[in-house]
Amino acid sequence: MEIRAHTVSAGKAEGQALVYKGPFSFMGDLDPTTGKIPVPRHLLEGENLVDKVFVFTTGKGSSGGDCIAWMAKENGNVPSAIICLESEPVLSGAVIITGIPTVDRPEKDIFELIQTGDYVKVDATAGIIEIVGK
Amino acid sequence: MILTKEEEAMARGQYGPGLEKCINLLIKFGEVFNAEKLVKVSSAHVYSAFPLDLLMELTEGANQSGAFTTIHPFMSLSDPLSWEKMGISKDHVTPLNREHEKKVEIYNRLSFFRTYTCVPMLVGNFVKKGDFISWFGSCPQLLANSIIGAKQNRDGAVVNMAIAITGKAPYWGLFLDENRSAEILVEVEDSDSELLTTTDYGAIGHYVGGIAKDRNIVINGLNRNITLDEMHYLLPPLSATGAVSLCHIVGVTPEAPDLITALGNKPPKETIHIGKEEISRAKEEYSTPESEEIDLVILGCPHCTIQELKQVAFLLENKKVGTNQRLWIGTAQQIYNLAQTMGYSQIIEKAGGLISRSCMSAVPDCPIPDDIRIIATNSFKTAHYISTFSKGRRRVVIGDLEDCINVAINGKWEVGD
Repeated sequence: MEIRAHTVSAGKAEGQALVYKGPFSFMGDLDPTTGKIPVPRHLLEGENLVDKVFVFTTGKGSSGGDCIAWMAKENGNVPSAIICLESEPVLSGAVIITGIPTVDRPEKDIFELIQTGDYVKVDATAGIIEIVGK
Repeated sequence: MILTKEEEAMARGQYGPGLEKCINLLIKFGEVFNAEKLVKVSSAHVYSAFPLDLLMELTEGANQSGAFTTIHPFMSLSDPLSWEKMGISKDHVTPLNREHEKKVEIYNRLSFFRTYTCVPMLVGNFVKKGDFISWFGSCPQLLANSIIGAKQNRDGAVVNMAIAITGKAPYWGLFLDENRSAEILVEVEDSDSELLTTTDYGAIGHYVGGIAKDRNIVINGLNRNITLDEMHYLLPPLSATGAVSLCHIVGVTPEAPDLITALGNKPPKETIHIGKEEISRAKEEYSTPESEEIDLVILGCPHCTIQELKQVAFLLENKKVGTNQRLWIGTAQQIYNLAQTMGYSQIIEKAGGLISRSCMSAVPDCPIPDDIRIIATNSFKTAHYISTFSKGRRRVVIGDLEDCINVAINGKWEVGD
């Protein structure tokens, strides 16, 4: 199945989906030294984002978040691709500088169609999400 | 995106690899938000905790900043002149200071002015209404957008740095007049606005930010003689509990001569009523402990003005900070120098106060020594960030500047004050 979306940061990547129906910030929600979510009582506490296609609602939070994203990328601790509903300016800058293929504004309900563990291909250059397997 | 010949040459690398990276980042970023062009900025203000390796990449081959540029406070309490006296761990500060020394070479090469403050407009980074600018930090962004009417977006640190280096910014968002009207109306009611204290103003910002989220707001019903110091406590909490970039104040800020103009001739999408009850509810979030001793008093978020340092010196004259208390005050180097000329800093330091160029909200982490359990401050933004980043290990209480200095001297809040 294919879903069209808007290009934020070009490139192609694929991997297992990790779905979080909430907002995300690279500052605070990601430990750049491990690639894990360190936040106590977070629904995804301890989950590793590395090599995942990370699906969430919107970017949020501090304008220093893009620096943390860059540090995480230097350590190889970033998701392989990002799909979100709306990429605000700080998240957009972060994924462009780190080169993480990212799309937003998908034309269908991604939280209905994509579950954690599904195998997903993201062609961010063309703006196409492909759900390959459950 | 339509580019000038100079911008195209920059994107092809004719001005060196750093400018090439910066402008291509700005072009890609602008395309995400449908910016039709890049425009020249008159001023920039950049993040001090920017990763060194990335700074070296983005400035490779560049010998001059693209716009007048100043620098944000030291983060993580790492100011080389004050960390040791604050009791910040050496292991925490050493790698930061080592990076800092290398950054200074780059700052000097590009003429980034090493102001280390969150109030760039008070130390020579003067901007005008309508100027396109890019200032890092939610507090400077909000102050310049709102009080001065200089136009800027909530740029992240990397996009902001690319703008400072190239002097160019994508034309989008709050650069366009049609996006600068308020959507949320805040009506201040049943409070005599002439009697509001700075803590009351902070409480209004703290309360409204949580509801407004990232939308533009206009506040109606405030005293038109509101001072700069009062606006310094009203506005920054709006971007701590929320992500507000622009707050008009009717009859005070330049784009709000009257309510209808501030709203862009449209009805507000939402109206927030705030009065005595909401103000005291916000203050109760950080209420006074009855019998416990305060370990640390923090002033200077945003960095103290010279008038505030004068008031602190007046309150501390011939007094001493308690033996179990500490007093930390954030300000700019340039304001500190003036305070020295006036004799204020000598009084403050003789009494046991410590003045620093670090960020007093202790972001993005909270390296405050472990034995400090209860902190008093006059800033809702400091209260919000320190209680968030210390994950409940520290309690924060709020009071006016005078309350804060009294507690620094006596250790406890004056009962029945």
